[in-house]
Amino acid sequence: MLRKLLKYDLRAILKYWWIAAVTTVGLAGISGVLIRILKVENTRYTALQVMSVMALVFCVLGIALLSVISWVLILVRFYKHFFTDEGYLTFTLPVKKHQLLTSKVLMALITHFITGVVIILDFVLALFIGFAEEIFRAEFWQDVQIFWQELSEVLREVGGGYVTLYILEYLLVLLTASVASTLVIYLCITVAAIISRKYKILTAIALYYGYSFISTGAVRILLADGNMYSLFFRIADLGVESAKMALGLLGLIGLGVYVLAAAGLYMLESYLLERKLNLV
Amino acid sequence: MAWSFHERAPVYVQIADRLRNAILKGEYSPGEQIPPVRQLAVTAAVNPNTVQRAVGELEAEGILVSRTTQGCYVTEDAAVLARAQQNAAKKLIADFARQAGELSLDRDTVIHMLQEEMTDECTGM
Amino acid sequence: MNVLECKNLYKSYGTGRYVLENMSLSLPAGRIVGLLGPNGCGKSTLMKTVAGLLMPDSGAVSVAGTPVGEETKALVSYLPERTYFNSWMRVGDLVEYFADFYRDFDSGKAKGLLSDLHIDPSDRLKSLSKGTKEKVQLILVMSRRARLYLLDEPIAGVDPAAREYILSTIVGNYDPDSTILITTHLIADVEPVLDEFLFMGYSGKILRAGTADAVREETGMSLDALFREVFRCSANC
Repeated sequence: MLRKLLKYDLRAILKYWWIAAVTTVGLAGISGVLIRILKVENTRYTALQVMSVMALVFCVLGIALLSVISWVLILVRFYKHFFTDEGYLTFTLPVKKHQLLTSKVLMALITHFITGVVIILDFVLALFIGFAEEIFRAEFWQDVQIFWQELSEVLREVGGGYVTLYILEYLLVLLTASVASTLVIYLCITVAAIISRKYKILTAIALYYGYSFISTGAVRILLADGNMYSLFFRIADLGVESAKMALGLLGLIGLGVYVLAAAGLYMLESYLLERKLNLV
Repeated sequence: MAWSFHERAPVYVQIADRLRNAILKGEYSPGEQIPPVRQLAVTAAVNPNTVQRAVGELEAEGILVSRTTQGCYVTEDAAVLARAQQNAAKKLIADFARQAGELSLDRDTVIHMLQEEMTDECTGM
Repeated sequence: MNVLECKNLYKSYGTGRYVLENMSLSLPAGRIVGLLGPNGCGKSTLMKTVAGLLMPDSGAVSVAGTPVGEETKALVSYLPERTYFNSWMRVGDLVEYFADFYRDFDSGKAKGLLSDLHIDPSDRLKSLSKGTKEKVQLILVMSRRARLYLLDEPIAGVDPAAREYILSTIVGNYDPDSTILITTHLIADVEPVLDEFLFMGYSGKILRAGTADAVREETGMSLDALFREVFRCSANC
């Protein structure tokens, strides 16, 4: 059943997403061409160059816009499927409510993932087109090799042999943070739908701003009037060995926090959908 | 077309009347099968149990004969049909007489008017 | 075993007034039952509760012996008053959707009924007229072989020709193993279709119940007339 729900959820999103994705590929191509135009060093073409820079900026923004569009598609699907008249169909399906929720979380994760992949591919494409000659020179690949070697050395230094483990840890953090942040927004929408039947969307936005305000405030208090950047500086102050341990610990704490948050939010949202949602 | 029903009698009685009239009018010949209850129900937009009850009434009168699972057939017994026709006529006339009486019409006038009307309408008169 | 059992149901929407107050009801199989009552007396709320869309504050609801939940949703086919389509689907997509989630869905029957009405499976749901949308919804609901059909105002807001079609379709779905529960204001239209009726007053109180036939025999009134008498604006309004 979960697979079926996911199938329809993804279909609903991809139907519109692919148009945006293909558009970004086009924009990436155009960016590549614009880069080549900008590489031409000739004082006669200043006007063209200025326009090219502006166009390039727009293209890059356009590509980045894909992440905004994907969020919009995810939330619209979530909202429509549960909280509009479509809900009559959704909530009479012979499935458990938490399966409906899981499908929504998975669809968000998958959409974010493919969006990320497409954006990265877009930048690679733009750079490939823009710097085609440079790339196909032998020196470039030698430079890449050197870069890779130096990076590996540094990572080994910092990680103390546990590089892959650290990478895995941070990937997990990324995953759970993504799930948690998605659930926070879902929760805002759900609570808004429960407490205010007429102004669901406005209330949801208000709730989300309220949550953001409180959470940044909480972080500030926890880090004793600092932020994530000052935290890193303080770690750097500790000296190399301690810094390594601190970073590792930070990763684990972060992972723990996000796992708990994701689990808690999931259960809360499940509970609300099960017992508190009154579709009228 | 869904059948329409008036308020003055139970629905099953009205269905039975309608079927009986159809048979007496010759829409269903003696020995012919009438549509199954389910089909009648769908055509008329009426509950099948109600249709079944009406059919049951006609079976009790002998107008319809049920043959196991094959459905209901109009009886081939001419006497039964003739009696049914008589009864239908009697009922028609009784209703008419009552209504004429309510209008306080003179008896002879009524009979005269009736004869005139009948020569126009009926065959073999 | 009864197809529907409600015991001591209580439901309020938080305004203090109970929409369903200590409501109990049993429906056996093989009946077409009319749930009749004035606006706001709790008919839709009852249906939504049985369909699993609302949770009662207290009380027990079960369909074919199972408490309302995931399993009963597979046994219950619910037609709400509103249309519940998402606009991006085509008619054919919706048929597939139903077939995908409901094991008891008869796609052949649905497609047949749709083509009878000249509804093209590739039509977008968004583009259909209101009456056509209602018919599509009805066809989907009735193409399931459910134990309990809940039809909330299936013929309201629909033209007379469509009404006939809908009532004929309802009758055509009659099955001795299942029960069809219909709520409506249009009592005169629906009376010939009913086996039994329930008059529901405020807070879900069952004021009167019986067979539709018996009403005419015993009272000389049609169901519609009886309804007007029982609900003449007095204590019941």
